[in-house]
Amino acid sequence: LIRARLALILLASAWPLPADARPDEHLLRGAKAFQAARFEEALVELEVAERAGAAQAAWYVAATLQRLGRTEEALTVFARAERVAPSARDEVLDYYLALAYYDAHLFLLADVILERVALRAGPKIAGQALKIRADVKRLFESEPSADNIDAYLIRAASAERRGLHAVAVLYYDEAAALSQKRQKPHRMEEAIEGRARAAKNAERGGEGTR
Amino acid sequence: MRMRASVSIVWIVLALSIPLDARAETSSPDPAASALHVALEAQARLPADPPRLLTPETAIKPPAKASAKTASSRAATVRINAVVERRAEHLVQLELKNVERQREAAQARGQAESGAVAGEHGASGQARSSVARDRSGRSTGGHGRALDAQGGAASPSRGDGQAAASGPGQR
Repeated sequence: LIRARLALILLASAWPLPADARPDEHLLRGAKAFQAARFEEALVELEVAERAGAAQAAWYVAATLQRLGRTEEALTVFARAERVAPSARDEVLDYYLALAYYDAHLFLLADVILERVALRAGPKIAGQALKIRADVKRLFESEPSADNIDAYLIRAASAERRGLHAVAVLYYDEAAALSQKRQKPHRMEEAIEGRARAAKNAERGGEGTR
Repeated sequence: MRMRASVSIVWIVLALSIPLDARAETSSPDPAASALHVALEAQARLPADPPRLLTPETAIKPPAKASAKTASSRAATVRINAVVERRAEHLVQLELKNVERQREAAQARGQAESGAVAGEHGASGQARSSVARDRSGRSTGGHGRALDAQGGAASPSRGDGQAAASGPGQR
């Protein structure tokens, strides 16, 4: 009798707690709010889901921040999502990542992502990706000026000063890519050195971790 | 015979201790991820503005030159956003407290049950457990005791409220 009771108690303790199901509930509520364009509400639900243990929720938090126009936060959380839940990434999330790059004026980085999205996404998102790529292509019909590159380096330095090292990495990357688009590269070494420094600091600080 | 029964019990417990998610992973798609995928696809938009490279001016200054009216409306939006954000953070904290409280309660229940088994020298045992929380969210320590009704001896259980109470609001 004692053995039977012991077995029952062991079985009961091995059963997952109801709390384990909660991240999914919040993800579902977040999905409903997002679909209804209630992005602030979606953000709360998705953040709760992430903090309750659903690592993949970071992608959706980042997409919601993009939709709310909170670009730098979105970029930081996207960087975290790539680190903590790389397998959850898909072409729809990549589209939102590209939009966050676009909002931050990181058009060359956006274009690289959109190229992939246009090949893999469904007809609606692929069509939108192609449209954005065409606009970006027009933008680079003339080569970027030295002023443009200076501006990206200013943004990168500003992000570094504010401790947003992952964001700084992106601005340095864009500055280097813009420099490459010129016949005579401009401040290329600075961009490369800045990128290496910011990446090191981002890694050291575990930026974007909760 | 006894040995075989014990081994069977161990196997059953091991099988059930595998998270349900892991068992379901191969058989059915994740409904939450599917719903989010659909929502994101439905809300995917094109950018509002044409692409424009940054210049030293736009890199430092706000992007648009605003009239007094649009400036004040932007200020209002900033204020609203700040309020919404504070409210959102508050809701997140409440929800996390709730999750933590439920987890502690479940843990305390489990500990009380194992306490009851420990005190089972006689025919029956009773287990009581309670967990009290102070306002800062820390467990003040519940207690569980198993009373042997027949033997009259009290044996304390391990339900001493050691639940992993890390306190709310840790980001």
